[in-house]
Amino acid sequence: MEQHPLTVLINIKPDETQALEALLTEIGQHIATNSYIRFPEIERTHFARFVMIGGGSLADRDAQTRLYFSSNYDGDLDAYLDILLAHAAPGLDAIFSKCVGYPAFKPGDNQYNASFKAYIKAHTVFTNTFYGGYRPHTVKEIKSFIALRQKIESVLNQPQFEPIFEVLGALPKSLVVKPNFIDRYILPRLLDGMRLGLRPLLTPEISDEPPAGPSHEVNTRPEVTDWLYTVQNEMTVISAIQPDKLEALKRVLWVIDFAARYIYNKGALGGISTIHFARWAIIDDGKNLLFESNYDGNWEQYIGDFVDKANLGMDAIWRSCPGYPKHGARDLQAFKQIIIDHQVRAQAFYSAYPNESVRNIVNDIAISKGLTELLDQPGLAHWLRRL
Amino acid sequence: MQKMELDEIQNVILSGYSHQPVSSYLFLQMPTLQAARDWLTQITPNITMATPWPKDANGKVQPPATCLNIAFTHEGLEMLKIGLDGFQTEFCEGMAGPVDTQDPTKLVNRARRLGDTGDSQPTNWEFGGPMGDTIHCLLLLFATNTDTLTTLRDQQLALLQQHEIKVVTIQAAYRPIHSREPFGFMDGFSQPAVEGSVEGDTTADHQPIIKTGEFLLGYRNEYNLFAPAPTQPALARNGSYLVYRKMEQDVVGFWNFVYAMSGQDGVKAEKLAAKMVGRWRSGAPLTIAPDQDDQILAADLDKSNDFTFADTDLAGYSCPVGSHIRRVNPRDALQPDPAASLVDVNRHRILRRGRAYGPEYPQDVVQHLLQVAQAQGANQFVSDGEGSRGLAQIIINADIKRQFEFIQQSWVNDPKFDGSYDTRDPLIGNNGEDKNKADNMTIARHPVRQVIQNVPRFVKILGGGYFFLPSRSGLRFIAGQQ
Repeated sequence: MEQHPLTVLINIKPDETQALEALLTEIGQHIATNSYIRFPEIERTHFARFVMIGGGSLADRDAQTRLYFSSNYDGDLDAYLDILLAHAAPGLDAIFSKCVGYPAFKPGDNQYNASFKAYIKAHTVFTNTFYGGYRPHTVKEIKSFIALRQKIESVLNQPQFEPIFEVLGALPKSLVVKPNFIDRYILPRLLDGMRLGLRPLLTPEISDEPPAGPSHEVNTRPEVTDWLYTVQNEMTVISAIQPDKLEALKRVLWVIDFAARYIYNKGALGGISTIHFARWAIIDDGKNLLFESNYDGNWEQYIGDFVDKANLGMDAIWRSCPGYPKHGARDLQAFKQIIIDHQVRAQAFYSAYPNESVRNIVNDIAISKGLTELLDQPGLAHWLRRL
Repeated sequence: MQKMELDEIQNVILSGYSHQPVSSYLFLQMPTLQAARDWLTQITPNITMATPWPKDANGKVQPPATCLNIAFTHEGLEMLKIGLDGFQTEFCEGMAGPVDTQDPTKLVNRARRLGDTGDSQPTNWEFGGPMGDTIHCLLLLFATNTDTLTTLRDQQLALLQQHEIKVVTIQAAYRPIHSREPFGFMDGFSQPAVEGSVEGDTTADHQPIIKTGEFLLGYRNEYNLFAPAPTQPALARNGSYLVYRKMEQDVVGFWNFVYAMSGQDGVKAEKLAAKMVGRWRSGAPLTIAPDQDDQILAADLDKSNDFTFADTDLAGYSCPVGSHIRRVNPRDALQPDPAASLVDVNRHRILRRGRAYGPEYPQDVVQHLLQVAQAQGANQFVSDGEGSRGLAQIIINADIKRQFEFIQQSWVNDPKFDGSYDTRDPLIGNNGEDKNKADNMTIARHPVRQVIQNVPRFVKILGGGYFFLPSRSGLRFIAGQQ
C-alpha cells in the first residue's frame, strides 16, 4: 500500500471560529483518547493535524480563517475516508459542520457518508511535493516492526544471556563493519558539486556574498518555536507566492517530489534524516504556498539542518515568498525569522508512533527484514549492530 | 584570518588561567545606579585583558599573580540603564527564565531544554533562581595561590562594602593539581582552537580551528556571519556571553552504579565507566585505546585528542555513540557524512572555563572511595563526609541558543541522539526523570550491544545564570564613563 498525503483546506464559518478552535484544542490535548476522533483506531493514519490558518501573512490578508486538515495515510483515499467515517463520523461532523458549505445530512442519514466524502474531496488540494522517510510501509507494518524490535530487545536484555555475550565478544573479531565509502564520502561530494552548479540557475537573485553587518536577533514566537514534544514535532508554514516566481516554484517542487520518490527514499531528504513526512502544496490558485513537516527533535535543530544541509533547496522554494532574505537560507537569523513569521501552530497533532524517530523506524524495518532474509556473515554483523 | 583586538578582550574568554589555579566568584547585587557606576569606574582599570603577558630575558612568560574579570546579567545592565537592544533573547530572559510572574514556581521551557528538571529545577537553586536574590554582576577573581586569593578577595569585598554593593554569594573553585574532575576523569580536553589564537592552519591534535565569531561578538562565525550583537556600538564588538552552571556531582552514586552494573568487578567497572565517558580515567580515548587504558597515550595531551570517529569507529564499538564525549563533541560522526558533520558540529562548540569546587579528591578517586568504605565497614561506596563536590562550570559562547543550549537540548538530553533509542548523556544528562520511560545507555559490542538500563542522574544543577562579558570599552560605557 502506498503512503499518501491528504491536504484539505476549507473556510470556517466566521461565527464558528471560536467554537472550532476550542474543540480542536480539546482534541489536541487528548489526541489519542478524545471522544471525537480516536486516531489510534484509524489505523491507516501515520500523522494527522488540524490547523486554523488566519489571513496574516498570506497573499490575501483579509482571507477568512480556514481549517487545514492534513493526514499522511495508507492506501486509497476512498477506503481511508470510509475508515475515518466508520470510527469517527460524529466527531468529524462536529468539526466540519463549523465549515462553510458543509452538507445538510447528519451521521446516520443514508446520504451522509457519500456527501461527506464528496465535501472533503471538493476541498482537497493537490500536493505538489510529498516526502516520506520510510516509504512504502503502512502504519500497521511499522507498528509491527517496532514491536518486533522491542521483543528482541527484551530478550537480549535478560541478564542470563550476558555471560554468553561476554564469551562471544571476546572471540577474535573477523567482522569489522566499515562505513560504506561511496555513500559516506563520494556521493556527498558529487551532490555538493551538483548543488554548486545548480545554485546560479535556481536562485539567481540570491547573493553569494555573506551579509556585511551583524545579524539581527530573531523576534521569537515561543508558541511556534518552543519545543512541545520530546521526540516528534510538527511544523506548518504558509506563505505568499510572488506571481513572477510561481512557474519556477512549480518546477522546483516537481523536481523535489521526483527526488523524494526515487533518490531520497532511504530515510533522509537532502541529508536531513529527521523528517517523517513533509509536503509542499501550492494553494489558492497559485497565491500561497503551504508546507507541512512531521519531524524529530526541536525547532532550532531542524532549522539548523535546513541551513547547514539543504540551504539550496530552501532558497529554491522560499525565494518565492515576498521578503525572503537576499542572502538566502545561509543568512541564519534572517531565515529563522521568515520561517517564524509564517509558521502556524497546529491545534491538534497526531502521530501513530510518537516515541520513534525516523532513524529508529528505518532501523526497525531493517531489523525485521534482516530476520526474514538468509543472512550471510558480514550481513549478520551489520544486522546485529542495529539492535 | 581575523585578527583579535586583544587589548579589548577580557582574558577569561581566551585563557583558562592555568597559572592562577585558585579562584573566587562573587555574585553581586548593586543598590543604586550611582553606587554601581562609582564601583565600576574604580575597578575597570584592574580588569584583566587578553594583552599578552610580559616575558623575562629567557623568553619565559611572567604571568600576573592575580586576574579579574567581570560580567553582567540583563538585570544588571537594566539597573545600569543600558538598553538591551540587540542582546540575545536567551540572555534577556536568563538561565532560569522567562519566569512566569503569576507562578514563579512553574517549570519554564528553558529548564526543559537545558534538562534543569526534577531536583535541578531553578526554583531549587542556591542562587540565580526565581526565588533567590536578583544577581546583577559576576566578579571573577583568579590567583596563583590561596593566600594571594584571600588578600585579593578581601580587598574586593572591602571595596564592595564601601559602595554598599551586596554580595549574594561567593563561590570558590580551583584547578586540581592532577587535572581530574570529581568523578575521577582527566578533564579539559578538546577545547576548540580559536581562529586568531593559533598559528598556522592546523592544530597539534588535528582538530578544526573554530572561527573567532563563535566566541567573540563582532567577528565572523562558522556561518561566515556576525552573530546578533548589542546595537550599542561600544558593546557590539569584543564581548561575549558567559554561562555559569554550578554542577553538583554525585561521585559516590556514580561509582556505586558503575560497580553494581559490573557485578562489583573493579576491572569491568573501570571499563563501563570509560564507556560512559568515552575516555579512560587517565584521559586516553576509547577510539584509540578501546580495550585497556593507555597511560603513555594519555600523557600526551595532543595525541590523546587526535582522533575522529567516522573512519574507524562510526558504529561506536570503541567509543559508544551515546557516550559523554561523543555527545558534547560528535566530531565527524553525525549523518549524513563526515564533512557535513564537521560543518554542523563546528557551529555548536563552546569554550569551557570550568573548575572544580568542594574538597579536592586525590588523583585516584576510586581508591579513595574504597578506603572510605573499608574504614566504615560499608559494602558499597559511601560519602567521605567532607561535603559536596562538583564543577563550577563557566562556558563562553557568542550565541547561547545555538551553542550552549543546543548542546544541552539536541545532544546531551536528546533521547534520539544520532539514531539511538532512549538514551541521554550517561554522565551529565537528566536521566531518570521521565516517570513513563527509563533512560538507558547502549554500548555497541560484539556480537550484540549491551544495554545499561535505568541510568540515574549523576549531576544536579545548583545555580547559575547567563552573563554578558563586555569588552574594555564596553565596560567603560557600562560604567557611564563615555
